[in-house]
Amino acid sequence: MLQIVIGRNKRNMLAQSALITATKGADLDGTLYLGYPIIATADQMVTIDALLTTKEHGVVAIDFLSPDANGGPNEVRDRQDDAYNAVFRKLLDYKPLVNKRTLSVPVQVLSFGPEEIDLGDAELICAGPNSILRKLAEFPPISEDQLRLVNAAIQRVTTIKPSTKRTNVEKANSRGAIIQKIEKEIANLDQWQKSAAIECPDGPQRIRGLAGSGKTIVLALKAAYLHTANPEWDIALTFHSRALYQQFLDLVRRFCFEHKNDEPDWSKLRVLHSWGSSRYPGVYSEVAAANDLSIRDFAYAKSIYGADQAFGGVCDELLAGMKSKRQTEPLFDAILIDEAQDLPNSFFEICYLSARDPKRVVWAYDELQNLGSYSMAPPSELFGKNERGEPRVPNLDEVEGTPKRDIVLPVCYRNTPWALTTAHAVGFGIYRQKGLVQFFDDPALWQEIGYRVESGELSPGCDVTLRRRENSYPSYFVDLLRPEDSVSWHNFEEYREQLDWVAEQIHRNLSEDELKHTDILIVIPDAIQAKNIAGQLTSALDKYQIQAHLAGVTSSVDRLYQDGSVAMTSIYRAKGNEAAMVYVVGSEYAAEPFRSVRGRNVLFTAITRSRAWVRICGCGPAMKEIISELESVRKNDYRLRFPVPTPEALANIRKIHRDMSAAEIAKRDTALKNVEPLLAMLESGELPTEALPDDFKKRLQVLLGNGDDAE
Amino acid sequence: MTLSETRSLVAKLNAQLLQSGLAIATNPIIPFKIRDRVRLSWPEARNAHGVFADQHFASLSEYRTFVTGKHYTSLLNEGSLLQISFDFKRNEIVANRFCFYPCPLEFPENGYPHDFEAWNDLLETELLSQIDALAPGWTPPERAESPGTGGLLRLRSPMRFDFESENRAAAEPTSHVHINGAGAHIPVHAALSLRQFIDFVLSNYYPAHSHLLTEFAPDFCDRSIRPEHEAQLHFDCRRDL
Repeated sequence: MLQIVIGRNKRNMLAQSALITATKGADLDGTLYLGYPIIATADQMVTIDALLTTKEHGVVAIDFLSPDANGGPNEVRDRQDDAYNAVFRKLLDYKPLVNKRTLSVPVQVLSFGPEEIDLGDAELICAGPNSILRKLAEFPPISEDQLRLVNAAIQRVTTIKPSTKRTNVEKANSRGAIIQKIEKEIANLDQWQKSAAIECPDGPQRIRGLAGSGKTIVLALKAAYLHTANPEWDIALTFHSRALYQQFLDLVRRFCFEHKNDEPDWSKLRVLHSWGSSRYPGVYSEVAAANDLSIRDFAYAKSIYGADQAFGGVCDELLAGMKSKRQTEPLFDAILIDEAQDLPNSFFEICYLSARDPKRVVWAYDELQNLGSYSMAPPSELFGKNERGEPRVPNLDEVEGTPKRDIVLPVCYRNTPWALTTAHAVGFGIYRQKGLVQFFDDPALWQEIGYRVESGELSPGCDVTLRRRENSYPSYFVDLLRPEDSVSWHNFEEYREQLDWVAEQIHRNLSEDELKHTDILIVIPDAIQAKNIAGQLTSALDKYQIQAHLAGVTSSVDRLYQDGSVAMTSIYRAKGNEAAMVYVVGSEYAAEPFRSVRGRNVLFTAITRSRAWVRICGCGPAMKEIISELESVRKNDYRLRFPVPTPEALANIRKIHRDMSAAEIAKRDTALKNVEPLLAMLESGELPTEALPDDFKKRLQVLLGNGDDAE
Repeated sequence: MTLSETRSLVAKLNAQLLQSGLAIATNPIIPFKIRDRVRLSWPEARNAHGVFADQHFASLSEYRTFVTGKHYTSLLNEGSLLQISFDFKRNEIVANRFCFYPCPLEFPENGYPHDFEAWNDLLETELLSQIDALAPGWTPPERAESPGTGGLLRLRSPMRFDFESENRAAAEPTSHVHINGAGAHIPVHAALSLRQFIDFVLSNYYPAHSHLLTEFAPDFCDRSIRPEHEAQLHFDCRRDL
């Protein structure tokens, strides 16, 4: 199948549209890039109008004829030469494609226009819509391996992560050897990542992706590409975890070098925290300053709105201020938002108002990684309403031949299919005895995130069985790992026993499995207890002379790990990080009452930190609930079987499982405390149940139904 | 004390500090070679190249470098640091460095005792930006409604106890403490043990936690102060009381 990726073409829209129409139905296996790549040569930047990379015809650079009937054969020849040289050099920079002193794949070049044209020069290959496939047929095929290398060279994401030196690996099948093989795999962009990184519609664009699907890299690539293609644009790349700041700077810098061999102009491409501080300007603080409105800091926000709602509160204030002004000051030509699930709705409306027409706001998120107090609204609500009271962005429907406005990244590179299915099962409560705790608004999203319907139907009220699609994860997971070893769970009678077991396993990982300290991550879902548990773990590990650290203040996600010491972290600091072996300590946190959605999301996030193996540990009755769900996942051979909730059932699920605010929890606790003496009197027989007023008894019976959750 | 006993002792200390809630982040001490010695120190010390020499003693930038660069063994819940390191030769301690680095800012309220992440965020955004605000040439952001640094700044000197067994010929005392200036070498009667140092910090600055080390065995080093230093005002204590 030919994937068409529509970048930013400024030259000849008619030619672009004709090329899409002419090639769309062709029996070609590969990619047609439009307005991509942009290649820096010694003295200029060359934007390739179209680049076709297919097994059938190899690498073909396509130059669009100028709309004004072109300047004759000489100009066409010059442009073809520029395109050829730029692509040739780009590929030549990629060693695996070089054979001795030249490329192992030929580069072809042709010119294309919306109408057939003959320049009267046999050396110049020109084509129109009717002749393009015939002309392409003259170019020889390349092998699948060569195509893979060509795409790696064009995308240049292979060098994103420096590979860990593993001189300690001696055994062929140790865990160390396995993770070494996983790290060596070439990471080409998949078709969805390509679209998300390169396509930029004239309006908002949503990118949804699973944990480990490459959202952060895609956004950094997109920022670098848009900046290179439009150096005059003011672009903001924003995020919520401060720990991501350095990572974004590094990625954007590297990708800009790939495109233009130069440092980005940081005054035009700005990596900004969503809020900001006097140290790091943020989108919020910049917008407030530009609109001459108050900039609120954390101390102020916490005192007025509480720590949980601090940012939401100040964004609401700022938005109200902006709306009360006749005209707001748009600051950016494009705003790219990562971790959108952690940001309040008003922030998106602020971004919309702060974006210049045509309002290029790109937001990427994974709903299940939401650890905060906000939930993602659909675009019709997210960007507010216009003066007529209509949604500013009613939908994200696709318009044929234009860049996609709604992209889902379904391939998960970080997690094994078994870990991901397990994480989804506990995240949604698929096998929870009392039913689901949350669900997607649109059931079809399951298929978009890489599941296939094995039986039943993904429609409200129907039973369905889902399984990860074979193309939704890299094949090496299946080749190298076994499901029962990749995901395992362990219930303990005593907390101490759990910690001792984890310490013993880590000892084995380090002494027998050839893993390094930096391959291991201990995640503690309960942030409040994190210090205490980490202290006990430090002691337990010390029995094996294993050093450990509890991650503290750091300006970079990359600094979570330290050589010679095992990292322990609360769930928040774990976000954005991954490790070959993950131990989740105190997983019962997810099943404790009154914390259902947030607790489940925390466990989902913890499990999805694992690159190869995850050990889900816990104790107590709540852990038994989690274990029973995990066992169901395995019993069902990593399938998800459940009845799709009807809209009414979904509304009920949301009502029951919405997370309570601190004030609500306090009110509940007081009420429970007040009723305790009455319960004690009834239990002891001091007050016989018969003595309760009839009306009171009736009300209780109605409320409790059959004595179970009203689910 | 051997090298592995020392590592274990620091792990035990960190465990106690975390469990009591006094520490919010910890680093182990790890061994690495320094000339003919093995140094046991926090992991980042290995890559510190010039970090210590580049900073002025007790400066805000020094504190900031230590916090953001993870140059500590324990980060306490109000921002103070404990730095612990030892030098070994043939499995014997020949030098140590114990530093208590108080946080230069005092938070307006202690509203984050249970929320590790909120505390971290506060430290990173508020505290560090407050420190930056003191830099020459800094101007407050327009319309910012920050409480300002006036009420938060505390002029507290770090206290660094150094012991170096191999500089007996030098003018400075073998065991000394730096207070208020890198050039001040206030004599100490002997090398401090880790237990003595932590007891000193806890009982004077965190009295609510002074019981933390009751399970740690008492540990004293031999008296090493020279007569000319003993004649000066110095730190001393008696082990027989």
